[in-house]
Amino acid sequence: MKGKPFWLIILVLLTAARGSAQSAYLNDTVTEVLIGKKLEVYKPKQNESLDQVMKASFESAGNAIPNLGVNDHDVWARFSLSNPGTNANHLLKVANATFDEVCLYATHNGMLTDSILISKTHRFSDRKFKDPNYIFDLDIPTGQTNTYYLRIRSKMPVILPVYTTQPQQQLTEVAWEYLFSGAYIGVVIIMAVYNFFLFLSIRDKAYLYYVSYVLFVGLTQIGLKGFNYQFLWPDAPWFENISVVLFACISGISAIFFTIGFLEVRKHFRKLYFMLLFLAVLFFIALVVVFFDANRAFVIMQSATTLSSVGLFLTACYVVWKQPSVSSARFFLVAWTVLIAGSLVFILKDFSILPYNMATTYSMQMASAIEMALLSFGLANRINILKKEKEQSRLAALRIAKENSRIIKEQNIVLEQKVKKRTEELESKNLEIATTLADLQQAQMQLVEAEKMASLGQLTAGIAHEINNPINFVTGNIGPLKRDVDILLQIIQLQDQLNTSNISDQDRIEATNRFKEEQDFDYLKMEIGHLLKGINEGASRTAEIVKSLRIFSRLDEAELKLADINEGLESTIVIVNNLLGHIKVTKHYGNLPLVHCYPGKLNQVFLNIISNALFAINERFGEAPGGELTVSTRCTDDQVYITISDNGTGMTEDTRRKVFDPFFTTKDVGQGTGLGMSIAFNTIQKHNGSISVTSTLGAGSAFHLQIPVNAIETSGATNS
Amino acid sequence: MNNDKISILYVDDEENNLISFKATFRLKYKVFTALSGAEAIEILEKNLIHVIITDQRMPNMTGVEFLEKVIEKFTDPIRILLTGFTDMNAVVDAINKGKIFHYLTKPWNEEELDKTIERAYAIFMEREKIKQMNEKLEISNSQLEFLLRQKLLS
Repeated sequence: MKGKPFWLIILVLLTAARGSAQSAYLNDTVTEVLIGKKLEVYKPKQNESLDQVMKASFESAGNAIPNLGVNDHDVWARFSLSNPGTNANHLLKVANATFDEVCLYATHNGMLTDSILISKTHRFSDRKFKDPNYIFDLDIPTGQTNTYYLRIRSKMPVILPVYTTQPQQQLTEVAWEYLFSGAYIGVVIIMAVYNFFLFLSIRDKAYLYYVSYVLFVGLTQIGLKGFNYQFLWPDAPWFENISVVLFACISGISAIFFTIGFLEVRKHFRKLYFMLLFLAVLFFIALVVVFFDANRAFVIMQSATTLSSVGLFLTACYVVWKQPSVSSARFFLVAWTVLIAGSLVFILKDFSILPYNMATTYSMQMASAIEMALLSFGLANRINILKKEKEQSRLAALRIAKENSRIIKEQNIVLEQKVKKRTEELESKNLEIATTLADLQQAQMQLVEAEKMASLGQLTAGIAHEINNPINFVTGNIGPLKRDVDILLQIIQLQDQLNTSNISDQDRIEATNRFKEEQDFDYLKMEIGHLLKGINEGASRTAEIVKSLRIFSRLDEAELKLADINEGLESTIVIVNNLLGHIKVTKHYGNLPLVHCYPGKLNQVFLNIISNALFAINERFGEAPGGELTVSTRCTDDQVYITISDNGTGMTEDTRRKVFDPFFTTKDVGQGTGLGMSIAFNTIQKHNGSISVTSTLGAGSAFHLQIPVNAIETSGATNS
Repeated sequence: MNNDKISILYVDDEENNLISFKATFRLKYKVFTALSGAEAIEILEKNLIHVIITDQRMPNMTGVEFLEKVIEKFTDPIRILLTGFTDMNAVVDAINKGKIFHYLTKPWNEEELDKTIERAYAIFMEREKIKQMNEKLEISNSQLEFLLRQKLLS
């Protein structure tokens, strides 16, 4: 721009030119001149060649920027240019990057002089002017008038802003284009990046849809301006061919999903949701079709876009109407309104209702940028809503937590009461158990006592017999002995009488002998001997038995004593003497030290083992001889070993294992308590000794006892 | 052989008891002693015995077993069990199987033992008398039958 005066002049010129004839005049002033009014257009029913077209009848476009609509075939425009000036360096600019192909034919006096083809089927780099718009050299010699034909191929509506310009001016225009598009790209990128980061932190899919929408809308808009082909894929004409439809479809789908997510359509408005899905499907169809037929895809895309913009707008309206409190929806509605307004402006410009200028050509981009910003605000606002919701949920959670803690407190009180009750119950139970335990201990003691009594009682029979026999003949002998002594005294008396009387010695001897004869004196002598011997034996046997009994039972010795184990064993054997019968008893007594022990209890152990041994022998041999009982003792420095073995029936392995179990018995019911061996085991344990048994079924058993010489002394306090 | 003296057989495995018993009663009764059941049965076979006194607890053959054997051959002698210990089973067996007249415990009381022997002998004598009277009755019965038959014939 070189200042206002020039502008004014041009405006005047332009208005002057408007009314003039078919030919446009190039001038040397550096400015763009729109030559739309000079254009004649021709829309054939099929693609035609230049020759055919030159014969065809063109009609005036009638507009500064002719709008030829969508065409299935190439359309043609014709105009004449005269160059009155000296500068031949003029350019023709067709400022619409959406065309697929534009070809300029220059004719002079009905003769083709030159043709320039710019097509998107060629690589961008092949263009002479690196500009998204179609720019051609106009090489018109001074004073000459050329007639030009433009052949335009496009799947989009053919809007024909045709300018004559000069290279310097073109640079300025390009700068402006770059500025606007750059600003737009900037907005797109900022929005995309910003919201992408928001998505990364919030993880709300609406943000991602928004980013996708913004990016692809941006790409579409920039693509419409032709910059994508210029900068992004200049060497991929095939992609350029489909890119606009492709991006438009993706942006459309993104918009729909964004709306669904943003307005929570799915949750609140099922019918709208399915409608939007249908639109998305339309876009998707276009997306697929574009790879086969770009033109048809464009049509589908266009209708989908139209439907979508209306649909989304209505959706927004509906949501705002239904949920006026949701501010996001208001943002959405405003944004969409802005976009639609921008589009309207853009379209109205195409129909020449609004002027064609920078503002109107960029109205879409501006509206798009504003929409993006508004949607972004909406999304940002959403964060506030989310925050509020979170706050509310946190408050609710807090309330629930408080309620919970209250309930827990109540529960605690209840639980404490329960625990207290339980504790009391347990305490009473404990007491019960303690009582029961005491009872049990007493019962055990009684059982042990009973066992002792039982084993003693079992022996009483034998002992009574054993002791009654000697007592019997001691007492029984006294009577006859007294009588015999009387007889002896009578003899002495007779002798005395005879001595004092005066009888001859002969008579005296005879009388004495007669008396002796009468009283069977020789027998008497022998009898007295026998009787005395019997008394002696009976008395000593009784004494021995009583002594053994005393040693055995030691009822008076419940406490610890130094005792002779051999003596205990011996007394036990005396006690069981009557049970022995034909059983041969072998004793191997070692030289034992006195053992610190409870002798009475140990004797009970010996008695239990020996009476079991005798029982086993009797089981095997009965009244027949052959039974053998062996008792042996030996010692080391501090241990006494006792082995009591028999050749009785022996035990099975099962019996051997259970022999020390309480109440285990192989005898018939009533024959044994099953406590004998158990008591033996406990007693030996109390003495810190050990008891074990080896046995062969049918050959006999052997009990091995080991008792420490002074074990009780070391731990007597705890065990007594 | 003195016929008016009561003859008694005493069985005990304890010799001192035999001596004591014999010394006590030898003047009054005719006393036989045996150390075992087998020995006693030999004596029974050779002598007339009025009263048998036996100990219960003896090796090889208990008092009851001995008495059972005696009953098989010699039903007449009156049987007395003398034992040192009140073993109920032995007593029941003695009554049921040994069919004893009396049960006495050791140590014995001389007087009681003496009286028991006398009573036993009395029973023996009664039974003997009944036996003899039965015999006499049979004789007189047969004589009467003879007379009756003669009367009927005449």
